[in-house]
Amino acid sequence: MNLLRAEFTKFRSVPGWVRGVVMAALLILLFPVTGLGGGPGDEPSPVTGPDGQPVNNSYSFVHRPLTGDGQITVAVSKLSSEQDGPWAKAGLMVRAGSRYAAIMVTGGHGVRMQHDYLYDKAGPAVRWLRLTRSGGTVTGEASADGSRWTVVDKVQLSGPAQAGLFVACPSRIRGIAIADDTATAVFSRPELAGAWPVADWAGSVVSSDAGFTMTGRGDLGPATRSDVPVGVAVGDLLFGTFPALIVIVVVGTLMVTTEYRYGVIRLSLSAGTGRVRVLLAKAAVLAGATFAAALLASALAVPLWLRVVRGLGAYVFPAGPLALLRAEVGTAAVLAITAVLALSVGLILRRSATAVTTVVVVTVLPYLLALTPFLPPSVAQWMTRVTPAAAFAVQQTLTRYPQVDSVYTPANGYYPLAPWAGLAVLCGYTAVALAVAAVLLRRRDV
Amino acid sequence: MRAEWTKLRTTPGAAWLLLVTVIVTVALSAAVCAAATTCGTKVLLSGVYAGQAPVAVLGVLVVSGEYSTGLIHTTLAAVPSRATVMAAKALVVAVVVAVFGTAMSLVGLAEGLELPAAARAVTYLVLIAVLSVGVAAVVHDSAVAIGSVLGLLYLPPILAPLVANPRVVEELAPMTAGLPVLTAWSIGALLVGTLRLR
Repeated sequence: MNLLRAEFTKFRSVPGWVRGVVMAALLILLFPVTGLGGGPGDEPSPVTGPDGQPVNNSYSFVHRPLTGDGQITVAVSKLSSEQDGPWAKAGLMVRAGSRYAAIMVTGGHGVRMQHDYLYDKAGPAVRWLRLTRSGGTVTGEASADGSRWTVVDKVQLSGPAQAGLFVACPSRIRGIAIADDTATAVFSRPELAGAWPVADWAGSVVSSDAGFTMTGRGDLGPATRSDVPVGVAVGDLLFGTFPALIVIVVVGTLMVTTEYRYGVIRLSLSAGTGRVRVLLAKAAVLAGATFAAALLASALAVPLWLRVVRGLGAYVFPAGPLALLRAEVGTAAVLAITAVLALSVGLILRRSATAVTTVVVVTVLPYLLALTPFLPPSVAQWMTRVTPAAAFAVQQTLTRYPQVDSVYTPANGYYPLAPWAGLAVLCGYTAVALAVAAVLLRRRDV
Repeated sequence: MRAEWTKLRTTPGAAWLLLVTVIVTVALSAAVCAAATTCGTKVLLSGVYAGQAPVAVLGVLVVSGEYSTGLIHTTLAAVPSRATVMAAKALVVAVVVAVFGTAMSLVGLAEGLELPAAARAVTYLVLIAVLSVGVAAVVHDSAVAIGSVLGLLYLPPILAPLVANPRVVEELAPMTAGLPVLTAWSIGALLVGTLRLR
């Protein structure tokens, strides 16, 4: 306890260190100012689905009104797309207002039943599809031969609806390259059963006695960052973390290298009850001070800048309160743990310049390289998976959807690791550095 | 001039730093090249991103190393002209980095790097070293100096996409703007550093 107090007094009484921590906090809090001045984007806000998520909503649809119960059955005899898109879709859909339920054959992922943009369930890889609405429930079934059916999913969907055939085809993603794609599907003539009002099929379709041929492009599903490039993710509001990180690394390193430079370390070690305990006390004081200042800054910055950005009319990707809290606490933790890493490396190397460079190069540089457009995506993934830069994943609030191919790169705000897993990578590096520092501190003279 | 050369030669850190520069640059370039489908000039030079860091450390240490040991008083007593001291330091560092950079780019040339690109890379490293000498003379403390240099290099490309006017940032930042702007940065840092030494 006395050791902690002694280290805290040292920390408190060096004006440069306190200034550094305060500066780091201010950088987090105020840095988004530099992003203002662009004004509200000219582009319209994206379409949002029933859950408030931004969605893609363009497809070809040949439909008839359906007021009550009814059943529609079809065979998709052929589905192909120009770019061989694995998520080219052709199938049946019931649509009521902004909600829908659909069962479809896909280019490379078998039969899927999807509803309301976000939800997806896999079925067998077959060609016959059937949608049945009974009461308020829509049941999707798939079959290999049109006689024996297996249920894929059931969805609650009531009210007056349009039902029929649809074709969609998202752009083909290869690495970071995006190519427009168009799908063509050949259906058998749909068989209808139940209370269908008398009406003709509406929509663009080539009809023959054998069936329907339709082309379609676009997609039905959640929009990702590359679909809404002007949208703001919460991680963007915390980009002051990077300048703050460099300041904190300098402070963390100086906390130990200054003692070496002036020989105070001899005094600290001879006065303390144990060398490792002195190290731990330093780490605790540094981490505590950094965490408190950074948490205060990020907890103020996120709500504040969210209000400002929304006030300017920019679109913000939705994120739940828990995700926001995780991003705020995580940012403070990244800074605190990196500070301890800098302290440990400073103790190992005993030179300020080399220690600062080492820590900056392992934390900030990989992230920078991951952003570099001419490097292949595999390098970007690797850089944010195995280096301490993986920790920035705690700031991710965007959701990655398995049923949507997109440009899921760190530059777009998608990290390869889960938030806490990314932080754990940084913790691992720090723990190793701290352990090496402790061993060296015991072995070395000073 | 000879005094500065002797100092640099006898500091054990300097040789290590230059060695680390070569290793890091070549290793990162090779790793990226192996992962990339096409191994163009830009990809071959990506190692410079990491390799510039030890060069910057070298530039910083030449000045701030003297401050931490108090040697700067002796140096300035022997050569009272601040401009001469700074010019000598910058020149020695520049020549050493240029020699090592040239040796390193010979490896690159063997791998199919074009001569103008290699020459630009060497010039870039030399200017980074001079910039670091200048910054260190401005702030005196080595940790703060290296933090400033690395911040100046690495932060603008990360932050540029998020600010209101990314083009302006990229055209002014030392790492992305190109050699003329970097030269301006380096000369500016040297001048301010010389003035601070008075």
